[in-house]
Amino acid sequence: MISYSITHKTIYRYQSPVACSHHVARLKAVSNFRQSCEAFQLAISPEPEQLIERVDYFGNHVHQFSLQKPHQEFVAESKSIVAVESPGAPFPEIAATCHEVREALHRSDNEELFDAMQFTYPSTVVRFDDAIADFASPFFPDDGRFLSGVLELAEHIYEHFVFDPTATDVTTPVNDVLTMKRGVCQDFAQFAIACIRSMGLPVRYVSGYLLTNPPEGQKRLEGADASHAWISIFDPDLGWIDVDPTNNMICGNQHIVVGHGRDFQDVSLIGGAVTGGGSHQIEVAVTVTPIESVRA
Amino acid sequence: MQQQNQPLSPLEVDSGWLASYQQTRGFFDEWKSSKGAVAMHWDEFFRKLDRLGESDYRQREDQLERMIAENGITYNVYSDPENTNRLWKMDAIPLLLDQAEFDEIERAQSQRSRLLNLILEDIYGDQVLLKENLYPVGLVFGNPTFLRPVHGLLPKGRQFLHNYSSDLARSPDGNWWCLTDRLDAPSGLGYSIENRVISTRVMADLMAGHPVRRLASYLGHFADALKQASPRTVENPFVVLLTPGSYNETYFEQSYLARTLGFPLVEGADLTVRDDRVYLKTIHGMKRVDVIFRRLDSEWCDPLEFRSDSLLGVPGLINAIRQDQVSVVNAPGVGVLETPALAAFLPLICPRLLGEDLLMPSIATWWCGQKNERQYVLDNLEHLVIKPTFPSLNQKSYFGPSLTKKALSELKEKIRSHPDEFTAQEMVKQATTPVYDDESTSLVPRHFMVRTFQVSGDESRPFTMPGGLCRVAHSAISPDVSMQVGGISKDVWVIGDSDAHKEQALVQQFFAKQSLSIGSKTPLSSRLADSLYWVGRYFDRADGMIRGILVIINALREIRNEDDLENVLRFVEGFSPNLNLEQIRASMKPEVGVTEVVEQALRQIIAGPSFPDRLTHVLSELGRVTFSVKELISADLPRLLRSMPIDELPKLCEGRLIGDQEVYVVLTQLQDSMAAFAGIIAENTVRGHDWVFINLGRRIERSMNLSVILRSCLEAPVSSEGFLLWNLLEYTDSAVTYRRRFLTRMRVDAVCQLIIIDPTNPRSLAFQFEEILNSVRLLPHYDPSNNTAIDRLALKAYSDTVILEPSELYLVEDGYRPNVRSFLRDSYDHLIRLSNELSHYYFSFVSRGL
Repeated sequence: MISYSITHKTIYRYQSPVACSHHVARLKAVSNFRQSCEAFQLAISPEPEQLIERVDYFGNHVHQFSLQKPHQEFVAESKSIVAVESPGAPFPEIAATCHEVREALHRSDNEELFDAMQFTYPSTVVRFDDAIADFASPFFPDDGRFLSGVLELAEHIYEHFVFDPTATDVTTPVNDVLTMKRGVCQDFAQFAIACIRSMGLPVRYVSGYLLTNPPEGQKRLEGADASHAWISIFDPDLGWIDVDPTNNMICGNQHIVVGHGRDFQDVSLIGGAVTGGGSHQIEVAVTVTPIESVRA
Repeated sequence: MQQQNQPLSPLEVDSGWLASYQQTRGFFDEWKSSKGAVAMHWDEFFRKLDRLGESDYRQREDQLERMIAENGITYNVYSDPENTNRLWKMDAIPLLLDQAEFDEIERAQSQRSRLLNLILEDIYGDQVLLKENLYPVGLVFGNPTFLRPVHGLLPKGRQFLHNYSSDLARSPDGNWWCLTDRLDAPSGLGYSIENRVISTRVMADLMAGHPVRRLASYLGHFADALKQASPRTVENPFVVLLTPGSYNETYFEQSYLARTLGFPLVEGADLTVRDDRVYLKTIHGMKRVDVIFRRLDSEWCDPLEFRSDSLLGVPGLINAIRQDQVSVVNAPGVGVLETPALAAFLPLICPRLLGEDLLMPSIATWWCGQKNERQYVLDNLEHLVIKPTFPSLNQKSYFGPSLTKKALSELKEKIRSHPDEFTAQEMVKQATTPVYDDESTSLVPRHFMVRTFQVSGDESRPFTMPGGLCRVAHSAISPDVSMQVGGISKDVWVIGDSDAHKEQALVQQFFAKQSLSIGSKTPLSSRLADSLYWVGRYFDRADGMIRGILVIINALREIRNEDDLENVLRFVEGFSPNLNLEQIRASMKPEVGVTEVVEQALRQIIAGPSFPDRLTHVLSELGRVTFSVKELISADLPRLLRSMPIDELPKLCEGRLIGDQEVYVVLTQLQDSMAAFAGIIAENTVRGHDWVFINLGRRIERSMNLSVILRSCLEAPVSSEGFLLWNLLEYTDSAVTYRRRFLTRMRVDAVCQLIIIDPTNPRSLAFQFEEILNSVRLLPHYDPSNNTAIDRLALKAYSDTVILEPSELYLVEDGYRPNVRSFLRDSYDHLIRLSNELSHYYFSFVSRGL
């Protein structure tokens, strides 16, 4: 098990004063079978007039707050300590085939399977058409193992798609990612999701962090200095398995989950709606450092 | 009063103008196929109409059309951006329905709304129906209108559907089908009330012969139900009607309903959420809102939780609902059941949830997301209607019989690859009803649908309006009754029993109550005040620009030497300070003269595509803000703006401007239109707050522009100044007065006296400042014993001006007139600050608490 200290600072600067702003932050990491959030603090400046903490439809922690006095700058800084287990590597040989996954979903005879059904449909942001399905189908033959297909897809993305922060923005549709073969972690995750869902198979979008500076001798991973995104697929026997297409790996203890949803929009880390303000600039700084290493 | 319910003899209209009416074989016809009491009422109705004669009927139609035009009853057509407002279409002959039959419809509708309400409670709650596979998960989890942020939110009184509508059609055997449910933001109520208002006038004598149920009691129930939805226990909960805005298809009826129900019509930008409570921003301050009756689709209601690109919603609204501080009616998210596929599952769900059978059948429906159903659809495609399962995705419907072989196989392919998105329904043989056809001047049968309206209060039983909105198809074969494709509406007369007239008392009660509560007293919203202010600003900006452009063109014709030319440049600089003359000069060949540079500058000022301050842009902004306040101003203003030849300007600017008669004529026309605009504002605006904001906009804009141009032209003495001063006098429309007072001798102090200091000259700075001061004193906050920043700035600007000594302005030091310079700079600063203070206090509430 490794514990991490995470700081995530976001600064909004507006051209002119904002009369009132409302914000939603999903910055507090979920606690689940592979990690637990042991401490969390959110500092907001100016002090919000109103702040509510709740859990959303997908089980993510939400802080919703509003700033009701005129302001031209606003800072939200979260500090958390999250302990991450190293999940044992899944056993691909016992993983279900695509056909078996679909059959299990069709039966939906337990809560977990019913919940997984959520993640087989198109969402507003991640829609898919025949071009996506044609691309995806060779990876997911009926009798092929779902997990193996996902790993091959991740490898394909890693080999053939270029990490390029200038090529896309948060609104780039997945079909453009397919034609450009460029993008960032968010694009690769959503593209992989579109492929997998076009086959009727369950997959979630995961937002989170990576260790900023890896242990000596290991490569620094792409996306380590900001928030990161990857996917989580569902196997009826093995449960949810996280895979990082940007770095072509099954996620281990360097990946810290903040939340999950159908797509980027469901788990956007911080967002808001403001009255006035003109144009704005956002500055983000993320640092993730290990605070103790204990062998489980 | 005529004798009611007496036995009637069969209609004998063999010779009359109605004799040719023939029902279509194989279809139920409301007149010819009806049995029992209603058949007698139909016969009686047509016997009378027949006796009165065709020309009498046509006069009634004329009167009806006049009423529609006079009341401005319109709907917007999306496919026609040029001409969005279309007049409502109505046929004077009503649809007659029997009370007993209507009772059955009412029972069925009540059952259906209870049922849908329970399904919604399940979908947004435990999802048992999904887990037990009584309703497919694909129709919820795959549905873009399933809104996860409201999952777990139970509205007050477990009421998801305060108002519920559905479209009904009659089958050949005389039974009713429910074709579509309208849940998210049902429309049509306002139009059906308006139809009744018209038919009560136009068909008064014919109506008197039948005990027709009244509609107004429904409005009373409706207003009460909305008030009951309030989460706060207060005597008179504050209800607002939230509209998507004036471009929406049914904006007319939204504003009509708001007026009839006595609730303010608001846009998202009028509302703000503070401390999880919703407030309406008005110029008097913030007013707490208890209930929002929304006509805005759910997904657009809160950009924080649903569509983040929505500019129509209210950020924080859903959280206010979550904290039980406001009710939104209907509950956001109910659109999840607006799918044709629902019909396939209701017959099984109904016994399960209500323990009874579904009273009114839906049309046979197959959702392609199910294997066997999909196979049936693929095998029978040519006999079916294929609809998009999720209407919000804006896919089209297919009419099986009219598809070619190729189209059929393409559709099959689509269904196979995206089965969930397609739902098939049996073709409906919709009943017909008589319509008077203007072209053939005869009575003809047309397919129709009836939209019903139902409201459910907190605890009370659902109440169905005894009437509805009937829509008939525009052609004999078409089953499509949509107003978007030319459908015609009708009033629906439910023929009650003899005590129907008792409802009359309720009607009068309702309107008496309304006239007390509505008001002329509805406070002016901050958004509208802001728009009115900008109507004033853009109007005066455009007016000043046109005036200035004409002055420049004239000046160029009259220049006698290089000095004059330099002075024209100086005028252009002051007139359009954001224009980069150096850049324009640099972009042209070195040998071109100053005249060409000025001409090129004018092209930019009039229509330069990349110049933000261009006249064409200012005029289109004026059009936009004027349209947004059309409810508050004379209808002549938008009409006048539409008639202005704005679109011709860019083309005209391609050629020569100086000496071109055509350009000059168009600009003069525009100037005349602006004068007319000012005249309409002056003559037709009540001197209340609306007027104050328009006037402040005009005066602030005019004095700002004047300060800038005067400073540019006067702060330093130049040679041949007389020419420059003369153009300033022309620009300020003060040349005639000047000549009368001072003959033609041009002196700076005399010019300053006339266009800065003299408060009797309507174009002078002092006059503008006096107007600003007077207007500010009419604002709602004004308290002479406690001046605010706004009052102080207005006072300062005014007093600094009127105490000026002209001879001091004449003074020159180091090549400048220091007093002119500092006075005009200060004036401009005051104006900028005044405009900001007004905006912060009245429009954006930056400088004001709750």
